[in-house]
Amino acid sequence: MYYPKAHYCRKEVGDYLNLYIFPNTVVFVCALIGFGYGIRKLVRGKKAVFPKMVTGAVGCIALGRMYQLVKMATGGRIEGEFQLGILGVLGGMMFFFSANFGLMDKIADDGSKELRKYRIAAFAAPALSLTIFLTSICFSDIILPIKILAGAATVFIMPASYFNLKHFLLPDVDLGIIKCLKSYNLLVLIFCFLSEAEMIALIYKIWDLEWLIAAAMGIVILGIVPSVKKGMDKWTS
Amino acid sequence: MDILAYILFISVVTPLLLSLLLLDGKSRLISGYLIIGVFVSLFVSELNTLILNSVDKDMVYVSTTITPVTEEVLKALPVLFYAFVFSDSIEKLTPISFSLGIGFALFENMVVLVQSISNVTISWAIIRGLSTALMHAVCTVMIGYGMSFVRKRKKFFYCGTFALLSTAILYHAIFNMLVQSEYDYIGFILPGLTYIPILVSIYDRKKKAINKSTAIKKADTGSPK
Repeated sequence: MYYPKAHYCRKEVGDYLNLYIFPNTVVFVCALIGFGYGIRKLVRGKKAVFPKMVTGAVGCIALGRMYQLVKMATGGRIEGEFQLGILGVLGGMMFFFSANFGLMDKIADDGSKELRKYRIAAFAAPALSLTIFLTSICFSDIILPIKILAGAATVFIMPASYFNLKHFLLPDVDLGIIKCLKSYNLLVLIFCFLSEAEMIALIYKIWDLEWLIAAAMGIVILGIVPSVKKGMDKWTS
Repeated sequence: MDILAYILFISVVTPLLLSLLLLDGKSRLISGYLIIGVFVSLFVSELNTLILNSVDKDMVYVSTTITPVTEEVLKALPVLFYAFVFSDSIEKLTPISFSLGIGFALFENMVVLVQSISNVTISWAIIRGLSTALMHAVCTVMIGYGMSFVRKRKKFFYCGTFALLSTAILYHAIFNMLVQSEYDYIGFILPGLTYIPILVSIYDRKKKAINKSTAIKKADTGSPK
């Protein structure tokens, strides 16, 4: 569709907006670097699907942050109403989940009884994620649309975190690939909980925490793609 | 949407449908997906008008939050159908998704041209052709390319499809926001910046395939019978 040119006026970029812009910029830049690295090293040519999915996840996260930055730069609001930036987290989590559940789980878990304890222990990650959501967001007095958005993000974080914790805990007896990807699984697991923590920091406007989370998230995102590359190289060598 | 869109639709689709009878193989498939793209564009226009009338939001909000979702989901459906029913080969999915995106943009451009005939200029046509048309094509190619990997395993078909759609929707929404703002020039070059790497990688792939087949032929002719 064609839309008439909107008459945006540039808002006064005050401190309040800066506090949204800084964290998003840090995460966007780091995710973009990670995505570029992934495209160069893990996507071009005939490479395995797993690293392509991980690169896709980082790219989706970068696009989500870019959406929020562009929205703010063009005079829009990212707080208090539904906006598509959340698709960055949801899509990213689905890429991570698909990569682990669809590709790695079959290799890592043969369904034997010996691995049962790891399967059960891995439920700790989604349980913790759900507990954080229920105690800090769901039963608090914040508006319903925010609760729905945070709930949607939690629903997507839960399965991704389950498989990342599971693959982090599992001993790799057969092929060795899971052992090589332990650092990747740990980084994504941290990213899942940082996303959860970021929601709380933004909802309750705890700016110091938000800055800290953004910095940590940036470092973690920067490390995700190289950790996959390192793991894949180690496994194939 | 007024009757003019339907008149345009009939006048565009009829000759294309007739040409389908003369084509075969890959050409027919690509032309077929171009027609589907035109049809999806007409359907989406109606749907977006309906949504705009039913929600209490302004045009800017709708165009940056709602229409990217409706357009990308509906554009993805024919590609998903092809991947699911016929083939998940990257060599087939990439051209048909590109063709669908171009068909969509082609009809959208025509409708806009007719609706604002007194305001359009040559520069408008160049910008629409190089930005909006490419953006639609790039978004659909993203889904087509990703689908060639995601479709291979049932376990990540649904989640992978959602992830691909999220990526395409975000890209589309960013473009819509930029072209309606004072930073419209960034919006105009964004699809081109994404299209060039796609083009280069497709050429690379083709070049490698040609080199490989030439090497095989050479080896065959050189080997003793």
